[in-house]
Amino acid sequence: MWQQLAQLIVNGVITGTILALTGVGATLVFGIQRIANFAHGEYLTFAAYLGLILNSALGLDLLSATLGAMLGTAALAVALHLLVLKPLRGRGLVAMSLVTVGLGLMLRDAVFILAGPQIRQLRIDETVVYDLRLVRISPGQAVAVAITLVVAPSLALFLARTPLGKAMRAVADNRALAEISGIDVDRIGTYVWLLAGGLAGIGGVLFAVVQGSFDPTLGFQVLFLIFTTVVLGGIGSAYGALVGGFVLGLVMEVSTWSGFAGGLEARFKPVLAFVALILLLLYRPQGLFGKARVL
Amino acid sequence: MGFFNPAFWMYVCVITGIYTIMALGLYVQFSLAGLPNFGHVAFMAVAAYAMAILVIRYEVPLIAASFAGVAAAIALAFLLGIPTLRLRSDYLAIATVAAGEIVRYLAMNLPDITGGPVGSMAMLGPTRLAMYNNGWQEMLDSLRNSLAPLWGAAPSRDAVTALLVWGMAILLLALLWRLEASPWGRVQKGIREDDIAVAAIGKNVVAFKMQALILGAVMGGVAGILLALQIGVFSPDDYQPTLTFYAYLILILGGMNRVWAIPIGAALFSLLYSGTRFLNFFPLSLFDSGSRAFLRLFLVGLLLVLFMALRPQGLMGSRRELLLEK
Amino acid sequence: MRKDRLLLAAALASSFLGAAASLPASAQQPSFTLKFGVLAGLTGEPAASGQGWNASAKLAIDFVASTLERMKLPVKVELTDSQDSQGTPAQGVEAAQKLVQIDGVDVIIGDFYSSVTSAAATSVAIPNKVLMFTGGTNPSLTKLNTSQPSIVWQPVAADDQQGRALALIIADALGPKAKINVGARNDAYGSSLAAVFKEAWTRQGGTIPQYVIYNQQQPTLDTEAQQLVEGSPDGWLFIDFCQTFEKLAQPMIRTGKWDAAKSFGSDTLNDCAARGSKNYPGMRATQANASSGASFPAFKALFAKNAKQGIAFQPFTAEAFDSVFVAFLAALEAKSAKPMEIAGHVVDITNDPGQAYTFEQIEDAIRAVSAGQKIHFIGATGPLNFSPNGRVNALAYDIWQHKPDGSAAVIRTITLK
Repeated sequence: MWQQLAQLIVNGVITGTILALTGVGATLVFGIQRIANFAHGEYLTFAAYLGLILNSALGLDLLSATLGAMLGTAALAVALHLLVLKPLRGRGLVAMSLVTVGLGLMLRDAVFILAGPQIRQLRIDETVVYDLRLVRISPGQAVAVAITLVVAPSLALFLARTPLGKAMRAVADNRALAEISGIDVDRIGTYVWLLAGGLAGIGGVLFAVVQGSFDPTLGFQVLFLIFTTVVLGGIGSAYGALVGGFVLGLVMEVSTWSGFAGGLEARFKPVLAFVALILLLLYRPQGLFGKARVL
Repeated sequence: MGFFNPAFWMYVCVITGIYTIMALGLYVQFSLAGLPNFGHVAFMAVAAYAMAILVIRYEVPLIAASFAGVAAAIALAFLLGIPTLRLRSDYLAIATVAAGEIVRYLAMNLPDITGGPVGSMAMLGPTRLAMYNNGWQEMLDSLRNSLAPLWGAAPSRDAVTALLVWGMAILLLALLWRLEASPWGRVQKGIREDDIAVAAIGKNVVAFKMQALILGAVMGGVAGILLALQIGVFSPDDYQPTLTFYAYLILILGGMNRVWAIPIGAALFSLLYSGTRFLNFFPLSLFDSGSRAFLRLFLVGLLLVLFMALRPQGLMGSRRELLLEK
Repeated sequence: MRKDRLLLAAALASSFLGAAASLPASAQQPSFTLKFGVLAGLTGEPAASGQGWNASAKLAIDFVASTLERMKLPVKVELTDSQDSQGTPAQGVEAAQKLVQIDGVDVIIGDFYSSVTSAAATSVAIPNKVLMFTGGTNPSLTKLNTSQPSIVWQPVAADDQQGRALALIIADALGPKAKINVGARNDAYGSSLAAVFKEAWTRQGGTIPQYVIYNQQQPTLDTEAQQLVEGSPDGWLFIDFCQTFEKLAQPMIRTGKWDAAKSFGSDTLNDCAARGSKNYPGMRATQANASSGASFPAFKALFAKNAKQGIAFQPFTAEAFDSVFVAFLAALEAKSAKPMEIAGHVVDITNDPGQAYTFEQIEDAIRAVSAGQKIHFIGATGPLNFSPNGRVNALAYDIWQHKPDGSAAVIRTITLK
């Protein structure tokens, strides 16, 4: 029973790492660019397939493939920003969201046409087990947790200490004020896409590694959970998304623990996530770390 | 046979009419009252399921079951509205999405009530075929026969359905047009712009918002029931969030704040989705037929981006008004 | 004089008769174009299965078309169009409308979702009398056929048959009162089959300590895997497709408590290595309508050679393949591409009496049918044996087993009573 709980906590942390990393990118984009990016899931898909090409076709090891995927996805995000999103600014939130939906459709179906619908795998042996007495995890999961343990604090440090990070948080917090205090909001906007794309790049490969196998619907299926993470942490709050992702992952997995009167049936996990979201919105709509808006 | 076969386009016409009614419901909530309801599909789902369950399990006659379905949609609107209407608009959007997904997941995972992932055909268990639209088809046939003398021959079922659906759509359109110009409509538009100011002059803002939500839910429920009757069998997959997104798309394609542009938006939308089924011509026939399906959705995405880039105010909207929007 | 006239009349008559008798057989030769349409979920979540379904049907149609050209017959087959149902009934009906009203197809190969099939059948196929060969496994699909000849044909063994067969097979191996944990994907196929099995298994006295229906699109199924190894079961039953089953199998292996040799799978898991996934040595799975496997390997080879890159072999693709041949041969025997006439010959083509032919002997089969002989077409999935109500009679079930070297082979065949 307790061993099950320990294992579930580990499962939750692992699911949480992906949500946390991609959630940070999504929340910054929403906070700074004021766009609900419905194509964000497709960045993950793109990253996973790019990682696949680097890992399987070109034979690179997993770490290099992740790096390559990170760079490639960052480039994609910036390219789409400069070519499509920036020129179309000022058309209102709903119109811009529809544009991202259109972009998402294009990206997803392009991957479908080029790569085919079948399930793919990265070159990693999923049956090897690390038996840590209390819990058992696979090498892929170990890598995912390791990467997150490195990236998450680095990210937090970046946002807290570096001038660029501080500028990003300032723009996300209060755009007008940041502009007045001399921050080049346009340039920050581009850097945010770079960061969001890079994080999605890591997230996408991690996703493929943790799942073991993936297909072009990878990103689309997790899109709602990413949005839930963003809201949970507070829209625009990067720390919030980090924490929120882990919280969401833990809540979903631990809810199935038999200690909770038999535990929730596995297939109702998404319902739990959505119910938790609604409750959160009712009682603390600004999320865990967001500021309660006056208006 | 051939591209202009009226039978196909008559079917598309029916669906366009149903989507018009769905979009009208969203119009009341979003364009009039400013409520970004992203769970509109849930009203359609609840009404359709309620109607189907009553007809199949309890053998309630179709008309009564349809009214019950609409009542179920109203009940859901209450349930949804009471806690969420006081939320800020971004949060309302997210809460409604979550609610819509909860409805869909429940429909998928409670097979004893809803038939589970297989849908309405499995409501009586896996070995019996459950159908609810026999009464509807009988009514259609009797209408066809009574209309026969006018045309010389009995019109098709889809033609009669199109008459009914568009008749309903035009009725609702006219109703909304009057409502918009009425005092009630003016209050709603005020709430859309600045609900605090409206509250300050003594109007019960929450009550007005609830009325808009319920009115929208009624229309959504009607659309859901008509769609269910038209296709004869439905499953939870029919009620994914993409359907709400379609409704918003229709509003935008026509022009955001013009209620009479909604049928035009729906027609554009149908052209976008149904029209892209016709890709089996050169040079696209060089792609194999499986890839053409992906190409179709790619094209839809591309056209969407282009439309938003070139005419974000919609076909009938005005650019000026767009710039004034938040 | 009269005698001369009589003689003349007799001579004329006999010469007429002689001429008629020597009329070339081509006057009896049918000449038509059989138009196929494919209805399947080609994009989104069902894409992997739908694209495989479409590729398989296309493969069959191309095969028949090239054979007909080689034989220089005036009969043609074509894949007029494939339309995307996206796995939803509403889209499926529109897609079917396009195929029937615009493209004028005679036979629809699809859908493999039961909900889409029943919607498209009631709204489009049955009113317009266009045949449908579905991959859906819901037992009530053929109840849509309210008159003869049937319009909806189900070449896959329906869930009620397979559920009972699985209960029989597992009882045979592990005892009828064994504790079996059941894991199934949460969709129409998985949840229906699991429910049928549960009912059959508990009725004969068995128990199911863990009954887990899981969302197959989740990133990780570790929690579900851990649940499935609880309860000290005597064995397992899994109902899933190979690729998503992998997400469950890997964590189960990691728990150290799973024994593949005591596990059984539905017909979608019978040979995962051939489907781009991996096999689990010792695991057994069923395949309905077993032949001695005669033309299945040939079909797999053909698919591997011709299918586009990125489309793996999927469950039910063989049924799409077989359906094309059945429809074509029935049309040939009916000498017409009219759907209702084809329907009248489906039972004939797929049952004894008749010389057995597989798709590899299609030329001989065509000649035999053209000559008016009776044939029994053996599909890649088995002897088919369509009955007039549209169902196949799966009397025999193959039991496949995954081998230690990663391949899979048939170890036994049982007969259902």
